[in-house]
Order: sequence, then structure tokens, then C-alpha cells
Amino acid sequence: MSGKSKSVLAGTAVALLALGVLGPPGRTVPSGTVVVGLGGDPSSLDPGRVTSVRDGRLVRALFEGLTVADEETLAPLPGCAATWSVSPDQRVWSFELVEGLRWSNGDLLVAEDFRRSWLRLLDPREGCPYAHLLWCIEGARAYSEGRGDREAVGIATPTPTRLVVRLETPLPHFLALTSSFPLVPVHGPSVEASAGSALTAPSRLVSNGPYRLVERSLRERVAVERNPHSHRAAEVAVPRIEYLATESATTTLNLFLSGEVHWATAVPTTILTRLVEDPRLADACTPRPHLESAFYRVNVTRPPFDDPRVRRALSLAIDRRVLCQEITRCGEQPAATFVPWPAPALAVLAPGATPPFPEYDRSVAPASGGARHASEVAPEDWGGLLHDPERARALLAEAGFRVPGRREGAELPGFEIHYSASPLHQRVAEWLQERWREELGLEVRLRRSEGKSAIAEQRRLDYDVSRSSWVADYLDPMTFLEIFHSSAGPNRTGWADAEYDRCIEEAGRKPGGEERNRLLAAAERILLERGPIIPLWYGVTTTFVSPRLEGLGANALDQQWPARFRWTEERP
Amino acid sequence: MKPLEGPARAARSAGRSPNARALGRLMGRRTTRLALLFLAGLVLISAAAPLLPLASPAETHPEWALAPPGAGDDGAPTALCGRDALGRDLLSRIVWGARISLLTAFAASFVSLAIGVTWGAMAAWVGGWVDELMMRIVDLLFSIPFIFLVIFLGTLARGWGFTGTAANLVVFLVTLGLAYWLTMARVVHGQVVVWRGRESVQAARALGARRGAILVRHLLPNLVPVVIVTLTLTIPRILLVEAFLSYLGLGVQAPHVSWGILARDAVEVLTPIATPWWLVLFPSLAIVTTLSVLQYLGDAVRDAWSPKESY
Amino acid sequence: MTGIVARRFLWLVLTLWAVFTVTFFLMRAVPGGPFSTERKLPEITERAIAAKYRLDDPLLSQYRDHLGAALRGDLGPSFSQLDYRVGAVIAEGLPKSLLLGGVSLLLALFLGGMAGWASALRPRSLLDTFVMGTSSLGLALPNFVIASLLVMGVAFPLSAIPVAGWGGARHLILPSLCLSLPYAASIARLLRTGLLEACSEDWFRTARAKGWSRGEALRRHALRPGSIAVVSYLGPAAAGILTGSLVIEQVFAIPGVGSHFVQAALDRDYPLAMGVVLLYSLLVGTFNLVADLAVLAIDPRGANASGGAE
Repeated sequence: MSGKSKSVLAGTAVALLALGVLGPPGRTVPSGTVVVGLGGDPSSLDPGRVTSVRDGRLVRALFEGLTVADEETLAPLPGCAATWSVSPDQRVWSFELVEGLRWSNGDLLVAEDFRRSWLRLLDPREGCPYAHLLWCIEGARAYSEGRGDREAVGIATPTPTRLVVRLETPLPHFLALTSSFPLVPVHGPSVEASAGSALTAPSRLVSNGPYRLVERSLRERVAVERNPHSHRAAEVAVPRIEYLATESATTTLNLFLSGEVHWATAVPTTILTRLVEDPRLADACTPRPHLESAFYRVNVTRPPFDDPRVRRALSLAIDRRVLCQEITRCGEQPAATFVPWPAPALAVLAPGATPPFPEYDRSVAPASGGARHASEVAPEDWGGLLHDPERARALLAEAGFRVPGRREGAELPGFEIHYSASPLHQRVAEWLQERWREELGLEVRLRRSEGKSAIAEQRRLDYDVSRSSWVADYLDPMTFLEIFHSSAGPNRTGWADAEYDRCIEEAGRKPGGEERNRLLAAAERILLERGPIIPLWYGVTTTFVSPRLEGLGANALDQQWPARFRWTEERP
Repeated sequence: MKPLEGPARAARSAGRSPNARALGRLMGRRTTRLALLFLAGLVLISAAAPLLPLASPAETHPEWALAPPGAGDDGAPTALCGRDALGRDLLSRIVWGARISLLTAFAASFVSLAIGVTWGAMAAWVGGWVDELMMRIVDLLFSIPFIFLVIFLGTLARGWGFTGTAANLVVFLVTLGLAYWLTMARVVHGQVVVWRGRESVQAARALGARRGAILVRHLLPNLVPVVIVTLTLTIPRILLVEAFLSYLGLGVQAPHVSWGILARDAVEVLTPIATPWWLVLFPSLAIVTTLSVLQYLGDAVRDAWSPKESY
Repeated sequence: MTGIVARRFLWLVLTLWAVFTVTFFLMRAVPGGPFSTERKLPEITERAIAAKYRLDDPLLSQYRDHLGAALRGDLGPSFSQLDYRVGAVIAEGLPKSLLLGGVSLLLALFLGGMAGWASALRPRSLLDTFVMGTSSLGLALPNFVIASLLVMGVAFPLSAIPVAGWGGARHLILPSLCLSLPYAASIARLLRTGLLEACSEDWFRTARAKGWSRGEALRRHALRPGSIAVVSYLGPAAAGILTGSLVIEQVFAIPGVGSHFVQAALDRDYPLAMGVVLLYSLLVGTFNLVADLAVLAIDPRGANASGGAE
């Protein structure tokens, strides 16, 4: 080779080396830092705009509401409010704030900050996705829907530290609601100054939680450090938390294994059962019941799904025990109801645990025989309640369709499973496709859709059968059942049932108690017998947590309160 | 290379065109014949997939999920290449995947070849503002990331009523072909521009040869090697793009299966703890062998067409 | 030369405008809005959002406004990253992508150039077979497979090499290797082909007859014409490698701009999609111009021919 080519090559090599060495400045994580694999970027850090569980994890580090949820029971504990009281008719709530609360920039935090933040959440021009959480307040819904006046909303601040809220009707879970992440206060001046965007610069995000923002790098990390102005500053044990935006679950697992992530909120589910056999992960992962119901929506506006027998047949053809043991495989339990985790299912995963809705006594509609109370079913029988392929074929035949083993009847048209992108949903869809083909002789196609478009397509009723799940917004069966009211936004099936609507509306007017539960249980039975859903399983929380990280609670919504985190330098 | 041995062969080939002679040289090599045989076998096997004694590639057996290769226990039939996370037979999936993958690669490459060569050669040969315009159109299309084309064409096709499984496949093939003729056009264009400037061509022009004659006698034969090499780069690239789209979930949909989908399924379960190696090894082997053979053939063709090289 | 550059620059501007226009209308032809939340929003809110993002204006007036804003360098707020404007999204990711891409490009040139040259020096030798075989492998395996295998096989056994992340020079090693491999393989093959093509020329044989070594003859006579294909290829390749790859960014958790190309389109994040498409167009246009100029510099006869001396 000649001198010239040699010098070109050498030059390239030198340039490479230089780039490599000069490269990005190496960063070191300060010791004692807890690193969390968040599974992606938060969509926003503005409490008025956040929607996802992921956003909520950051909001709970940066902000603090009137109450905070207990990390085990989710019961509301004092947060910014030191004490509260409620009027005898259960309609007027009065909160007394902790003395001397401050924002992270040193400004005083007063009750008016809460009032303004909540009114902002309701402001129809803001379009905050969680405005409906506050519709229980007098005049709030009207204002939020553009029909009422801002001043008519029943939130008052008689003194700088007292917030008084008047509810439309008594609401059993209102106090718990005040711990939910969209209801935290936002710092008025900085929100107005940034005109709703530009929350990207740490200097501009003023918060009141145990931590304050110190770094935000898109698709890389959000770092928070202990907020010296927080009234809890002394309780906060971990000085710095870094939330990594790593999307890939496998990459997060790799980082966890190499000790660079201490809490992985998203894990590869495909081979989780194999993973937890490894000693490095055995202690790190305990599947816990999650208040999530996984189901398929059925578009009742498209024949033949307008016939409840066809919908029921699709449901009865599925053996959910196989689905949970072999396909999802993370501890999910077969669903025979829509509201998750009735006692028999819970007994399989977490023996001895208290069901999330202990007073809610629902009945199930098994494949054969009449309805039974859920609590009467033995745990080992639970999974098979909705599996009866014979009955499924009989129902289809009754509806006038040809099924395997029968010659007469019309051929059932092929249809499409619409599902959103994820390895789990893909696996489930492929398995169901095969099940329905085998058991019912159906020609099923798959159609994959990406996150945002999937919901838009559901809303347009542009699907036949669509993968769905619902996670509780608050601790009450209503959070599940209300979504299939004919006027509810998340219905997205075209299904409307007058009797169901009546049950939901009546239950909504009751403060609680036996009668309310009876109405809700009646609604759920209607939903299961002729509703637009195919229940599949009750969800679980699967995360990897380093044994050195303590303070994460085992609650049914996987809500964690970073102020409680503890980090031990040495392995116990 | 000593392709022509003995005076008899030399004499026999003397009267033939350069391309015919090259073809003779190509087929004269045993490795080439072997490679062609491999490809033919692959095409045959994938075409005959429904007739082979294989389990259905879509048949799930969750109870045998991730069974390693070999004779199955628990009454499971033997799975020579093991089973995937849904307990499907991997061998069957590889064979059925070959159908989709080969179809994708060849159909889309053919589309790219036809459009690309015509466009590039025409632009360079006509020259002037037509050349400029045609190549700027190529630049324009090049400037739109192909993934956008794929997503939008897919969505639009849906809107126009192409919803069946077969229709999805056709849309997919055409989209890939449409996204990949550009490289061919550029490479052919670059080559023709250079060859146009060559002494022999300029001399022929000066001597008053007709354009068409120059095109056929000087340019086209000289384009063959570069077109073939580009093609051997395009086919693997389309196969890889198919894999990339499968990784994103935008490729073919179940019950169809392709090698790209198998590779994605493999990577999904690949962790430092539990490694179902068969899910990585066998599909990778299929992809690597096929693409290497294709590339080897490309090299062999090119070498056969440029015999004058000295050692 | 200046004339050519000026003309090509004009074309580049025109191309950007055409790309803007095509992308703008394409994106609005596709169904599925960007603001699909779980809950149905009250009508007044839908209207407020539509007004804020100007989704309700007539298409042509939207087009005019967006074009005007884009000319001033403002591509609007991102629909999926609610706290960011498109400019900020790109400004955060691009430097990282450029760094990783730059290293990868040099690595690809280095590896590919070495391999191609070595192959052409001794065609069909053991070395050639080995190099071409390796490059086949680099071209034949999907990059997500290569990346995963590298993580399993290199990063876990060697604690000095991180499994993923961004932060220091050592974080660049695996991703840049992964990103550069297919490009290196292509460069090696194109260079080898080009050089061997040139070897069949009469003047190369003349040079060899004069008693030059093969290497010297290759360098003096074959390198220029032989690298034309590589240079042509480098134009689009450079743009591709500098904007990164979704797969590499996902596997190695790299905060570059590569993922936005896919994610913005899937999320119907029109402004961000527009931003990355324009960015890509700008890079492709620039690098193609550079590549074409380089081809002209290598072979000025081609310049005369296409210069229109008809």
C-alpha cells in the first residue's frame, strides 16, 4: 500500500480515536442514587397533562397532593393536608394544610394554589385529560363542559391554609381521590409564564414534592434530587433518583442484571418464568395482583357480533387457564368477571390477601348452570368457569351459523383481531386466532395497530374484536363498570343497554352500602351475560426490584411513593 | 481464473458474444452450480411446503412452549429445530417463512430492478435537463425516509379497502419495491455517466454511430456487472428491511410467517439468563446461508463478466 | 464548479419545499388523530385543542401557516412529547446521533476500505474469501440480532463495556460497531467490485506490463475509477448512518433522533414527523451534493459529459 493510502487510513484511525476519547463527557452516577427503568419517556411533567402510569411515577416524586396513598393499603394519609373533616351529610370536605408549606423555589404554598390548580384541571380550554376526576365537585362538570361558570365551582379557601370542597353528591372515595396524581398543585406563576409548554428546563419546573427536577434529557433520563423546601425533606432518605427512559424491556433487564438499574418497571414477560429461576432475579420479582382487567372489546355494530350469543360463544371457546399458565405466564389469573380480583382468583395468586373490594359481592355467570356468587366458587374451579367449547358451538348453531361437526347453517364470516403493539398482545392474539379457528372453525385475521392509533380506531368502531384493558382510576368497582355506560367515552363498542345504564346511574347516586353494591353487581352480570366484552384475565404487577432498594409497597395499583425509598449500600 | 482451457474451447467460444461467454464461464464453476442448486432446492422446498410432512406453522401448543430441539417428551411429537414461545414447530415455521421471505425478496427486487435500471440509464443517456429532473425526482424520493412510505402506503391501502391477508402481502411487496428502486437508479446512472465519457463511446459517437447502437453495444453489456452487484446488495437489504418491519410489527401478519418474524421472536426471548439458542440459531442460519449464497452468486456473476483481470 | 454548486443548492431548496408539501398532505390524508385519549373529551375541549393546534382551519391555510412558520425555523409543538417543541426534540437528539453516526461512519470507512482493498489486492485468495464471507455475514444478519448477540457475547463478559446507555466513550463502542457493520460490508464489496472492474481496463494491463506491482498499479490507476461506486453510495449512506437507527437506539438505549422517524409516524405526531423528514432531506441533499461533486472530482470526464456539451 502506498504512503498516500496509508496516511488516509491512519488519518481515519486517528479521527476515530479522537472522537472516541473526546466523545460525550463521561458521567458518573453519585453514590446512593436510585436508578429506575421507567420504560419510556414521560409524555409530560405537567400534572395537568399527564395520563399514563409512567407519568404518574414522576409526578409522585415531584409533587405532593392533599393526601398521599399508603404504599400498602392505598388508604389516604396526610400529605399537604395535615387534617381534614367532613360534614355530617358527607358533602362538604374541609382540609387544613400543613403550616409553612413551600414550593421548591421557596415561595409559600397556600390553599389558593390548590384551588387554582384544580380549576385549571377543569378549565375547558385546557382540555386536561383527567378533568373528570373532579366532576364530583359542585358545578365542576358544568364548568368543565363549557356550560357553567368558573366561580360557581364549589371550591373555597376561607383562610390561606384551609381548602373547602363542596361535592355534588356524597362520594365514598373522595378522600382517596385527593391522593391521585392529577390532583397535585401546580405552581401558578411558572405555569403561566411557560404558557403550557417548556417544562423541559429544570430551572423552570417549580414543584412541591419530596424531590425537585435537576435534569431532563429526552429519551435518556429524568433526574430528581431531594427538595430542600419540602416539609418532608428530613424524611427523604434517597438523595437522588434517576428515571431512565429506556424503552426496550430486554435492555432494561440487561441494565438491571448489570446493576445499573435498581427498579425495572417493565420486564420481558415472554420468558419471565425462566428468568425468575435465576438466583439473580428470584428475589427481585414477586408478581402481585394489579387492579387491571384485560379483555377484548367486541364491536356490536358489526354483524354477527350484534348477536349476544356469538359474543358469548367467542368467550366460551377460550380456556383461560391455558391462557394464563402458558401464554401470559406472569401470574395473571383467569377472568370470569369484569371487575378484577374476586376472592377465589386472588386466593390462587396471593393466598390470604384481602380482595381489593371486600364488600363488593358479585355473581358470576358460568358457562353452564345458573349464576353463582363469586365467593362460593372454589379457587381451583375458578379458571374453568367460562370454558365450555361444546356450549360455544351450540350457541353459534342456535344463532344460525355452521360450526365444526355440523353441516347446516350459514358460514360465519371471517373477522379481524385488532391489537396494539406489544409482544404479549401479539402472543395472545396469535393464540386466540388459533383457538377460534380450531374450536369454532372461524377464519380470524390479525391487525396490529400502534398505541395512539389503536384507541382512535376503537373509538371510530373501526374493528371487529379489539384487545383492551382497564386499570382502576380509584378504589371502587364503579371505576370499571362505569366505562360501559352508553354515554361513557371509554365504551367504544357501540353497546347500549337501558337496564345497565339504569343500574350504573342509580348506583352513582347512592353514597355506598348494600343497595349500591347490589346495583353494581346487577350491572356486572348484565355486562357478562350480554355485554360487548370477552373477559380474559386479571392483571399482575411484574417489576424487578433490587433487594437493596426498600420502601416499595405491595399495593394493587403499583403506586410507589419515592419519599419512602431506602437504599442499602451493601447487600443485606 | 482460467476459465477457458484448451484451444478447442477457446475456438468454440470465440464467435459468441461477451455475455454468452461470461455465462459459459459462470456455469463452468462447480461452486456456482452448487449455489444455484441450493437456491433451487430452497425455492422447491418452500413451494412444496404444504405437501411436506410438517406441523402447521400456526398450530400452537403452549404446553410445549420453548421445547428444545429433539424428540419431545410429554407426548410431544419430535421438533427437529425446537419450539417457540407458543410451542409452535420451528422447523415448520422456517420452511413456511422461506415462502414469504423469498417471495418478498425476489418480487420486491424485481420491481426495484425494472424501475431503477430503466430510470437511471435513461436519465444518464438522455442527459441535459431531463437527466437533471429525473435524478432530482430520485433525490426527492430518497429524501423521504422509506419507513414513512411504508406506514402511509399501508394505512392508505387499508383505507382503500385492501384488508385481506393476501392484499396486505401484495401491498407490502409493492411498497418495498417502490421504496428500493432508488439505489439501483442512482448506481446505474453513475455508471452510465462515467461510461458515456469513455473514449470508446466518445469515439463511437464521433464516428457517427447511432445512439441506440451505442446503447446496446457499449453501454448495456457494461451495465450488467454493476446491476448484478447492486441487485445482490438489494436482495439482502430487502430481506433485512422485511426483518426490520417485522421487528416493528409492520411486516406480514400472522398466520403468515417470515424469517424476519422468526428473528424478532428470537431476540424477544434472548436474555443473558435463559437463552433458547435454537430460536436464534436456526432462523439466523437460514437467513445467513441464503443471503451468503445470493451474494456469492452475485460475486461469481461479476467475476465471470470481467474476465480480463490479471493476477 | 461554482455554477454546479449554485444550481444544486437551488435544487436542494426546491427538494425541501417539495418534501415539505408532499409530507404535509400525506400526513393529513392518513386517518387517526394525534389526540386520542382514553376518555372522550367534551366538545368545547376538542374545539379548544383543535384551535390551539389549528387542526380546524382549511387545509390550504394550515399549509400556508405551517410553511411560513417552518421558514422561520419553527415547526410547532410536538404532539407526543407534550412539553417539547419539535425544534427542541431535534436539538436534544441530533448531536448525540451525529456523534454516534460520525464514529460509525469513520469506522465503516476504515473497516470497509481496508477489507475492500485487501480483497481486491488478491482476489479469490484465502484473505479475499474470508473478508467477503465476513461481509456477507455483516449484510446477512438483521442488526437487532447482531446487536443482541453483541450484548450477550461482549458486554456481559467484559465488564468494561456497558450493556446499554449513554454517557461516556465506552458507551459508543458496541452501538457504533453495530451501526457501522452493514455499511462497512457494503463499502468493502463496492470497493472490491470497483477496483476489479478497473483492473480489466487496458491501461491497467499496460501498467502491469510495465512491471508495476499489482498494488501500485491498483493505487495509481484503479483507485480513482474504482471508488466511484463507493462515493456514490456514501451520499445516502452518510445521511442514514448520521440520523441513526431505531433498532440500535432501542437495544442500546441511545437518546438519538433515529427512533422519531418511526415513532412520530406511528403516533401521528405530524409536526415531529415533519421535522425529522425535513432533517433527513436536508442531510440527504447535502451529502448527495457532496458525493456528486466528489465523483466529478474523481472523474472530470463525467462532468463534461453531463455538463451538457451536446
